[in-house]
This record gives sequence, C-alpha cells and structure tokens, in this order.
Amino acid sequence: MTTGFLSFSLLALFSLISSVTELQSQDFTGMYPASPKKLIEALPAKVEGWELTLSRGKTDIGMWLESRVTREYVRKPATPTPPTEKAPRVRLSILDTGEAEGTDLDLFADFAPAVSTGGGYEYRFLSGLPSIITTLNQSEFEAQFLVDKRFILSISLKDTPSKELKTWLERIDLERLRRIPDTRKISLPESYQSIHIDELAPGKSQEMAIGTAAEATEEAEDPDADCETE
Amino acid sequence: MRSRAEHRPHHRGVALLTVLVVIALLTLLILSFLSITQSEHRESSGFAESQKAKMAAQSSLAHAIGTLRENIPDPAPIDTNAATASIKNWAINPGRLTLIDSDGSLEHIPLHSGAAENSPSATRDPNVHSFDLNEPIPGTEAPAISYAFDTKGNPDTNSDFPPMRVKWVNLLSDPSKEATKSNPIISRHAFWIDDESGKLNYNTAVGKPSREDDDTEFYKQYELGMMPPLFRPGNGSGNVGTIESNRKWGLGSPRSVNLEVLFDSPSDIDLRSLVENNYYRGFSRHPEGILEHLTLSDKKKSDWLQGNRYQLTFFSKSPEFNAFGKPRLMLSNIPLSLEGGPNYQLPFVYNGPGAPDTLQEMKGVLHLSALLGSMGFTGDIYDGQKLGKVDAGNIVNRAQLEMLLRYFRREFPGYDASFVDKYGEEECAQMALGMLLMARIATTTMRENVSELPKHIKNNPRANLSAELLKGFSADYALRTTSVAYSPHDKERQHHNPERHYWRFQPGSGNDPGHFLAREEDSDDFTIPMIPQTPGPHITEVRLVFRSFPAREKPKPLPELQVYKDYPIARGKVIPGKKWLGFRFEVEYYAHPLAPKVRLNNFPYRTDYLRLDLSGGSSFVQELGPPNPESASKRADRNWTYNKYRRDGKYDREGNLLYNKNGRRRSRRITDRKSLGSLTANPRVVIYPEERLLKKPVQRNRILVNGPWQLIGKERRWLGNITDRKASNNDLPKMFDAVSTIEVDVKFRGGLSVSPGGGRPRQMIPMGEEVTDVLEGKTSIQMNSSETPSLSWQIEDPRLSSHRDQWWYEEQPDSTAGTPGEPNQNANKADQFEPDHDSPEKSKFRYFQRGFGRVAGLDVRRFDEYDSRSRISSKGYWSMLHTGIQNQKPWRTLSLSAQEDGEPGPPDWLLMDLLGNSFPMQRGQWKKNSTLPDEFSTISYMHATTGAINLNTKPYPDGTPYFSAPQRREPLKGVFKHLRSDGAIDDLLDSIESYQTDNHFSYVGELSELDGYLKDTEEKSEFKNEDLLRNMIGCLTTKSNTFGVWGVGQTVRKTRGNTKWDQFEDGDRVDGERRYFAIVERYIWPGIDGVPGNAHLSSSGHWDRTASPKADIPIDGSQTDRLFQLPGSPPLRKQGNSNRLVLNHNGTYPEFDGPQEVEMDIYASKALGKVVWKESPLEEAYNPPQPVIKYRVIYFRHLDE
Repeated sequence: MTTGFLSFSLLALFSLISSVTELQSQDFTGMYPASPKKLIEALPAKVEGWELTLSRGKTDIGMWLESRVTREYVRKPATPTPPTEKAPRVRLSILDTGEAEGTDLDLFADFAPAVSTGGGYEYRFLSGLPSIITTLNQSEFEAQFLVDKRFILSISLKDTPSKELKTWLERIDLERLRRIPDTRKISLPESYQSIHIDELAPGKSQEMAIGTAAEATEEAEDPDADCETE
Repeated sequence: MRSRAEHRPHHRGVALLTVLVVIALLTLLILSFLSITQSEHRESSGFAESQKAKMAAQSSLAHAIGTLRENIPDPAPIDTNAATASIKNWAINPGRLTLIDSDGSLEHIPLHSGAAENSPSATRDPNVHSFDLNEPIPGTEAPAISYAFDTKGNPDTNSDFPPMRVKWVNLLSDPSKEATKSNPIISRHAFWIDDESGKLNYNTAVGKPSREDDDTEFYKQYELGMMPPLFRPGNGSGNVGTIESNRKWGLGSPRSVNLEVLFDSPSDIDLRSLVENNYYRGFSRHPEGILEHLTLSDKKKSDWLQGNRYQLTFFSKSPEFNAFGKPRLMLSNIPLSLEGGPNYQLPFVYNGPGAPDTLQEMKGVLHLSALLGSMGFTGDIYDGQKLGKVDAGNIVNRAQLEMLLRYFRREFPGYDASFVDKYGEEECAQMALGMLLMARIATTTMRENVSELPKHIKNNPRANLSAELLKGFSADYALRTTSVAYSPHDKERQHHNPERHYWRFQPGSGNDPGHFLAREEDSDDFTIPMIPQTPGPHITEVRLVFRSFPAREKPKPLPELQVYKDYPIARGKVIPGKKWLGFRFEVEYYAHPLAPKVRLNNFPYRTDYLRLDLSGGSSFVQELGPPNPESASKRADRNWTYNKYRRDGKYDREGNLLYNKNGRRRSRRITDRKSLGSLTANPRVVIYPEERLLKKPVQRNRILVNGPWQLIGKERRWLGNITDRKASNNDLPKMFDAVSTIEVDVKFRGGLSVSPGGGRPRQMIPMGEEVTDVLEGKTSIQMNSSETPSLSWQIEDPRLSSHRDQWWYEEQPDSTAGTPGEPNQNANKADQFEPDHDSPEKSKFRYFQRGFGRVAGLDVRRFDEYDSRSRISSKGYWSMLHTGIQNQKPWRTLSLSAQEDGEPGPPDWLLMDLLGNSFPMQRGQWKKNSTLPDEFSTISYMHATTGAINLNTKPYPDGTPYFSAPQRREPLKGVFKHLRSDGAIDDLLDSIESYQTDNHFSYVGELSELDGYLKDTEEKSEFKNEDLLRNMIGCLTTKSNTFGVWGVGQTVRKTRGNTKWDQFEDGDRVDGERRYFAIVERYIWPGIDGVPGNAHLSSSGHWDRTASPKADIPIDGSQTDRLFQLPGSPPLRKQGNSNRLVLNHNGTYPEFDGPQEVEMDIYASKALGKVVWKESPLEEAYNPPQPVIKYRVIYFRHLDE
C-alpha cells in the first residue's frame, strides 16, 4: 500500500514537473488572428481576363494560431489554345501570423536588401514592403511581402512573367489589411474557432471548435509509472 | 294412654312414599349425571376431532413443504465451479414446479395434492373425492381464495366463485399397514401451493408516477435514456417522517412496481404513508397491514382486501441463483455494501480446479467472483517466489475471466448451443473482459461530488470548485477505464507500453479450450491481444497532416555569461531555399451525448509506432518505436511515452543559478531528444454532453484536437528538436530543398491512453506489435507550397478500432482529407458510414451512467450500489456490452430482444441469468437494537430478492373443469405500468397468457420473444425497443422462494356398509375439518445461530452475537450503508477523517465452518482480506459457505377460526 502510494505520488510529481516544463516550452504568445472571412476581402474577387479558380481560407495552428486565405487565378485564353499549352496561373495568399514569434515572420527578421549567392533569392523593398522574391525555375516565381509586421502576402506566378509581380501586388487591398486592429497577445487557448471558407464550393465551408494540444512529456523511465496502483 | 297400635294406621304408606321420592330423586340425579356425562363426552369427542383435523391440516402443510423440498433443486455444491456445476433449471407456476434438464426435457411436478378427476355432482356428498379450497369458509359468503376475474383481470364479485378443487390425500389409522376394517381411513387432507412471487408485494411495490403526477421529471429522464431514471413515490402525505417522502428510487428497483393497479383510483391509497412506514419501521407482516394506508371507508377497505387478496402479498422472494445452481454474480465495489444484503455470507464463489496457478497448494479456492466490480490495479503483492510485485486484484480478475469463460462454454438448460458456439471463444473472451470493466466502472468510487474534494480545496474560498471537481473526476474516470487492463508483473516486459497491458488470449486448439495467457506463457502467431471495451470518449478519426516550414540555422553558441538565455533553434535565422518537413497528428474525439463531461488532457492520444519512408530528392526513413516485439527488447522507444530527457539548470532573469532551500541547484527536466513521447497530443479541451434545455443548445461531444507540429529529424529514430534551449547538432531537423517534392509512405499505430495511468491503453488504432499491425497511407508534399496534404483514417464503431480493416483511409493533397469534427465519411466509402448519434445503431453506444452536472437540465449523477438512486438499479444495463468487437460487427451489443429467425446459438438475454440484482439496505431494514439487518425487510437478502413478480402466471392443475383458479394479470401490469399505454400493456399481458397455453417461462428473457414486447416495431432502435427488460428485468422472475399454501384437513369415519377401508365413500362421515393458509419460505440457512455471518469478536476475542454498531444510524437514511461492525461484515477500517469505513485488506472475515474446506489464494486474500475455516459437521456450522436450503413457515392462519 505504501509502495503504491509512493508510486502514485512520484507519478503525480513527475506529471507536475513535466507540465511546468511543457508550459515553458510552449510559452509563445501572439494575437488571435483575423477571421479568414475578413482577410479574403483584401484579395481581388475579379481580375479582368483572369478566371478565379480557387478561393479558400482557414484558421489553423502552425507554430501559432494563423489565418490563411488563398485565391488562384488562371488566365482566360483570348483564343482557343491547344491543350498542351500551359495557362498562366497566379496564386495570392495572405497569412495572418498574429505577430507571434517562431512563425514565418522570422523570414523577415533582420531584413536587409540582398541577393543570394546562387541568385535564386532576392531581398528587396517592393512598393515599400520588405519582400523576398524567389525564382523557383524559369517559369515559376514566388514573392513574399511583410505587411504591418503581422501579415505575410505571397504571390506565386506560374508561366507568368515576373514583371507582373508589382501589378498583382497592387491588386491587393493593403489598406484593408492595415485597418485590421491589433489585439492583446495571449497564450495558446485550449480551443479556437476554426473557420474554413471555400467560396467556390460554399457547401464545404464550415466552422467548428478545434482543440489544441500540448506535447506531453511526462511518464518518466520510472518502473512504478508503468503500473500505477489505484 | 293411647297404645302404639292406635297410632300405627296414620303412618302407613309414608315410607313407601319416601322411598318413591328417594328413588325418583336418585333417578333424576342419575339421569342428570348421565346427561352431563354424555354431553361432556360429546364435547370431548368434538374437541378431539378438531385436534385431529388440525393435525390433518398440519400434515397437509408438511406434505406441501415436503413436496417443495424434495423437488426444487438445491444450489450447486460449493466444490463445483461454473464448468462442473450440474444442470437443473427450474421454474414455478402457481400449483406447478417445472424442472428443466440439460437437454431441455421437462418434468412437471404438481404442487398440489392432486387434480380433481370426478365431478362433485356425481356423488351426494360433493367432497367425496376432492375439495374446493375456494369454497367459502362456513359462516362467510366470500370465496376463501379468490373471486373470478373479469376480462380485464379484476375481481368479479357477481360471478360464480371459481372452483379450486384438489384431490384428497387419505390417511389410515396406521399408515404402515394395509387398510382393513380395523385400520380404516381416519383423516384426509388436500392442499394447493400458490406462488407468492406472482403477487404484488405491498411492502416493496410503490410505483412509477403517472405522467400527470411526475414531479421528478421521471419521464424526461426515461425518454432521454438515463440509466436509471429516478422517481419519487406517488401521491399521499405520509405520516412517519418527512425526509423520506422525498427519497428517490431508480427505475428497476422493486419499488418501481405499481401497486395502484389494484385500486379504482390511485388516491385510494396513501403511497407515501406506506413507503415511510415500511422504510422506517420495516415491512408489515400480515395481509391486513396495508389497510391502515388506504383512504377508503372501513367497509370498502374490507371489501377491497377481500377482492384483491389473491393478487396481494406481504412476503415474496425469488432466488438469485443461476440455471446451474450457482449464486448469481452481484455488483459491488467491495464486499462492504453487500454483506448486509444479497451476498450475505456468500460473497465468494468457489472457482475450483483450473484457477490460475497460485504457487500454493490449495484445497478449495475462493475467489470474489461474485463481486464483479471489486478488482482493479489493487493489492500489490510479492509472489510466492519473490520474483517481484504483481497486483493481486488483477490476478483475481483473471480468475473472474476464467469463470465467465466457463459459463460461456456451457449450454444453458433448454438450449443446445453455448455462447462460445454462438460468438466464438475470442468474442466471448472479449465479452468477459468487457463485463469486468463494466462492473468496475459501475461500482468504483470517483470524485463526483464537491464533498469528495480534498479539504484544502473545499475550504479555499477562491477555489473554483466546479473546475476542481471536473479535474478530479476526469482523472478518476480516465484511470478507472483502464482498471481492468492487464496489470503485468513489475518485471514483465518492463516499459513495453502499451503492449504490456494487453491481455493475451490464446484460442483453443484440439480439446484444449482457449485461455488468457499467464506471464510465463509465450505468445504465438495465433495469440490475440485484447483490452476491454471502454466507455467514451473514443477516437473516431486520426489525421496526419504535413506541411513545410522555413528551415532555420542552429544559433551560434552563446557566450558563457548568457547560457541562461532561452535561444532554441526555433528562433534561429531562416535559411532561404531550405525547408523543414513538419507533420502532426490530428485526433477526433467523440463521446455519446450522455457521456460524462471530462477534460481530455486525461485522455491523451499517443503514437505506438511511426514509420515515414521519404523519397524524392533523397531517401530517408524516420522510424519511431520498434517494428516488432523482438527488437523491442533492445530499444528504449518501446515505451510510447518515450523521449530522452536531461536535467537543465534553472536561472533567474539575470542569469544567476537558482538554488533550493537545501542549497542544491534547482533544475528542470527537459526533452533532450524527441521520440514517440513527443507525438503525444495532450488536449486542453473539455468534452461535454449536449445541454438541450438551453435556448441555444451547446454540445461538444465531438471535437478535433490538433497535436503539436513535429519535424522530421536528421536521424532515423529521433525527431527534430527545435525548442531545446541548448540545441545540439543532432537536434536540427532534416533539411529539404524548397523546390522539392517529397513522397511519403506512412505506417503508424496509435492509441488513446490515460493520464495518470503510466501509459495504459484504452483504445488502440489498431492493436498489435508487428510492423504489419499499422494503418498505412501515402502522400506527396510540395515543399514550397502552403498547402497541407492530409491523410485521414476514420472508423464507424470506435470500439472496433483494434482492427486495421475497420479504418477507412483517405488522402488529399490539401488539408481536406476525412471529415474532422464531423460524422465520419470519406471518398473511399461514398456515403456517411458513421451513423448519427441518435440513430438506431448508436442507441446502445452507452455505458453505466457516471459523472456529474446536468444534461437537458437533468442531474446526471447517479449513486453507488447502496443508494436507492443506484446506477445499477437494473441488471438490464449490462446490455450495453459489445458482442462484436472480435468478430468485427459494428454496434452489436447484448440484445434483450428476440433472436432473429435462423440466428444461431442461445439468445443473448440468457446472459442475464448469470447476473443478480442487488438493492440497497434501507433504514427500516435494521432491527430496533440496530445490531442486525432485518432479514424480513431487506429487499436483497442472502441471494434472494423481495418483490419481483413471476412471469409464470398460469395456475395449475389445468385441463380440469374442477379447478379454474384465475390467472393473475395485475401484478405484471404493475411492473410495466406507465412505461407503455394501458392498451399496449394489455396486449403484452395477453401475449404472456397466450404463451403459457402450453408453455412456461424458464428465463425472464423469454418475454422478449412475445408480441407486444418491442416498444415500437417500426423503430429499429434497440435501446428503445428493449426498454421493458432493460429497466424492469430485476422486477421479474421465473422462480420463487415463497409459497402460499392453501390447505384443509379432515377427520373422517367410515359409515356402516361402506367397506373401502382406504377411501372416503359417499355417505362416510366427516368428524372434523380445519382450513388454513400458510406462507412457506425457501431460504439460505445462516447456520445454527440463526445469524448470517459470525457476528463479531468482542474485545476478549469471543464471538459476540449482540455486536453493536459504534455509531447511531441516522433516521434520515443517509448512512445506512455504514455497516459498523455488522455481524458477518467483512473486515473494515477507518480511512483518514472520513466517517466511512473501508475494507481492511489485512483483516479477517468471520470464520467459515462446516464440512467443506475453503480458503483463498494469496492474491484474493491480499485484495479482499483473509478467509479462515474450521471444520465442523454441517449441522453444527455457524457459517457454512455451502448454500444450504431450508424451509420455514413465515405465516400461518386457520381460516375457520
């Protein structure tokens, strides 16, 4: 009986210690990200000559709670094109990082204009925004922009000239993003409201509570912990 | 002077006259004397005849008792076990005993002196051959036993009295010799044995409220499916106390049988008064005891009793032994709550040869098999060879499993297949495990009341008590749902979690039956690992989601002065063009809408094995956990909680080392290398049942929980570790080119564990130890994309999650695989395959009701087995037992419905025959001096239950015009009253009568075969359809321990000319007659002292019959379970400051004696306390463990006095 009590106490102690440890390792804070419904309004709904093929958004947890919205556009051919010819494609997305540490925001840490050795990456200011432009290959480009120290815009161009980058950037309503108010930074909540929108397939849109989880690290290599007495 | 002669003529004749006068006087005197003498002789002769008639009547009663004693099978001998106990089931009808042999053959034993064969009108004296026991007693006009019934089953006072003629049994002057003129018939008797269990017992029957008088929202609970719904006795004011007027009872207790069916109006009886009287003062002991609670006029009271006497009793009991003559299995946390009740003196069941090897030489092993709920990870013990520690409770669990399996292999009398034949050994083994855990959850204590919280919390005004209660309950509930997992020897497969907690079932081969392997036995390819069926929450979907993260540099080492700073890789500089590959488990938790509210952090998801085969660019394998048992012995990650830890110093903000008060450096334990333990998802959320009453109903009984992201490591067995304050090179995750596409083949095995619990499993996804026992999938990840490819595995019935084939797989290039947080469906199985939670399939996706709080505004909390609101008020709740886990039949549970045509094997409801009812003691069950429970007034007492109603209502003898005792309907109507419409109940009662035309009920479950049993044949919901048996099975029986004997005895004399000396002929004379009614009880003999158990030992060490409780038993009934030193009590001790006594595992039970040697193995003793035995002849035993049946007359009354 005494042994059982001792083992129980030991386990409880380990649990306590580890839960404290866990809290420390997860001690990130950030703002609750804006709803994808708000964010998506910053992306153009219609672009002349382009067809909207994807328009989605969701809240999720990366290293922190985040909201991400994405729209994808495909160039409408002026004349019928042979099926082998690839249609130009552009994908715009906005990520609300909640201004939390450990997130993609760190891509812009100590930002300074530069070009990578291989030439694939270019750090520069575009339209006044810190941007990282990546040349994936001859026909694919990607650019990320930091807005208001919180939002990361991404523009992916496929079979589209890189010079159109600025044009697409201008189509994004940055002011609308900047008007989203900052909120108090909080610790990771026990659950959050996940909003999933799919504007082209509204039936797939849904909202639900999603639980967050800690990475449990207790249950040491203690033989007594294998066989807890009740 | 005159001469003498002169005077003489004057005196002549006087003398004559005188003589004549004297003679006349003498004659007169003599005549008077003669007259007086003759009168006295006549009186004396009449008295003698009367005495003879009484003796004849008594011989009739002795004959009746003898008939019962000689024919009703005794319980099985204690040295037989579930496999060897002989088969002789029996059933009782009014006037008939039916014996059912193993092959189903029947033997009917008349419980009367013989069926009348001759017409009473064929002789001048109608009673020449038989006697009508229903004939009015001379001087009265009412029938002695019963009026005829009208078509509705009510007494019809205007009809002819139904004849109840039975044959005479003739007795000669000297029965040992042939009948002759000098040895003629001198007396005769006749009897008919009625069944008191066929009547409404007014000491227990109270009744469910009508829908109009429902002041406890009973019907709302009932419709919602609460188990049990609680009710309060119906109308009336009561006159004894006030507190008990508010006492609630659980549906299923004999209190739920409605007495009102015997009245024209429910207001004709003051039910509260009745309840309070028999609760506080004990049960009434005569038929007329009910009259004081009637609200009728005196004349009407008398008429009412006369009309309803036949359907009413004050004493009825039915035995709690199964068809094999073994005591039924009772539920109790520890013996404490039952020793004054159903198991009194017999809490143990002999397990006999074949019990687990105990390393001891045992002559007769007792296990606490009857108390299914007692055992868990309890009673640490070092085994006989000092090899190490093992939980004694778990060893007893094994004995209980073996016992259940033995029953499952038996063919019940009347059935030619066993449960093993029906379901297979593996399923039966799984069912046995499920039963053990159900028993544990039904009875074990958990923190469900604020009063059970520690004092420092209760007394803290700032404490959030409801949050603390939730915390406490969640931990208890989680831990206890794994109580019946296999508890290994502490050196057995150390750290092999979860595998070391699997029961290993070895299927039978040849003539060897299957069995659960002991630790010294090896598994082979056929061994099946098992864990018990657990209550919710369950995991119903697992998703594995991948995404890329920007790769970062490992930060440069900090200067010595700054080592205290937290600067992990997670905050390192991003490396352009490089990515890490992250993945996480997402887990969908689901609980049925009446499951308890719990914090999910007590139910963590863990990963038992993970293998990711990466290709595209370069090949790489990440493998966590051993791929098979052989390699497991060499690997630390055999434990699904495994990470590598190290101690890290603690600093203040200025970088100064922190020390504790003893001057030692303070440190913390941190994860040094990440492995399986890091894949644990410890949810922070609460899952709670639906709250329907709120304007905006809220419910969270299904929720997706996202586990933390993990990163593919550089080494096969270690994940990336980017949060370590002092990162080393091998903590860096594996790096990928941003433009690459990675193909991933996934294999994993997960599970739902508990915390605390040391890594015990409660659900495996799937179960096994080989690399083949996994779920599989594949996907590809474009490292430069923000898409999160996802894999999903979903299941229909999560209780089948051990089988990999039950999981449906789906893969999507984005995050949309599966239906996280929604009922399960996927692209590979087109439609939704998980039924809605109010669907018929899920109707029995439930468990014994635990928890606290409210659902739909109704209190969820139910109480322990010694409370009238007990959660085990009906053994029908066992029907939530899954019967398809091993055979992969989703949603199949123990059915209390009729078998489908062609369905093989015995009907499921036969299992109910193994289980007993246990209803709590109550205030009135104590004798005045509070030293003994009132055996008369205790509903559950020594393996008998008071107040259950016999389904066998057809009276016998049948087929004769001279016996037509009415068939009772009202008592059964009282059982079902208000649960269905009156019309539906009448239909069912018609079916019950019709069934008995040429049949009888051997088992209560046969009710389910009848038309009108199913609540709604249109609706396929088993839960609703089975409501009658599920709730009321404990109020029904097919046997009886109480018999009403109606009898008559006559003294007779042959008339000149009649010469059949052994018979009564027309014209013969009846000199005397006595009629009587008696109630005879068949009961378990408590020993020669008449006291169950052995009382207690006084301070001088002597047996003390007048043991007194140390504390008063309060009159409000709130502490009737505190059996302070009750005779026969198990060893108890006080625990802390609690006023509640608990089992003293080191104590000793009252001594057993008698000829059968009994003892416990060390494991059972460790878990339950010691049993000692002393040899004695049975006749001199105080406390024999063998159930010995005796008969006694409880009530006797001459009807003609």
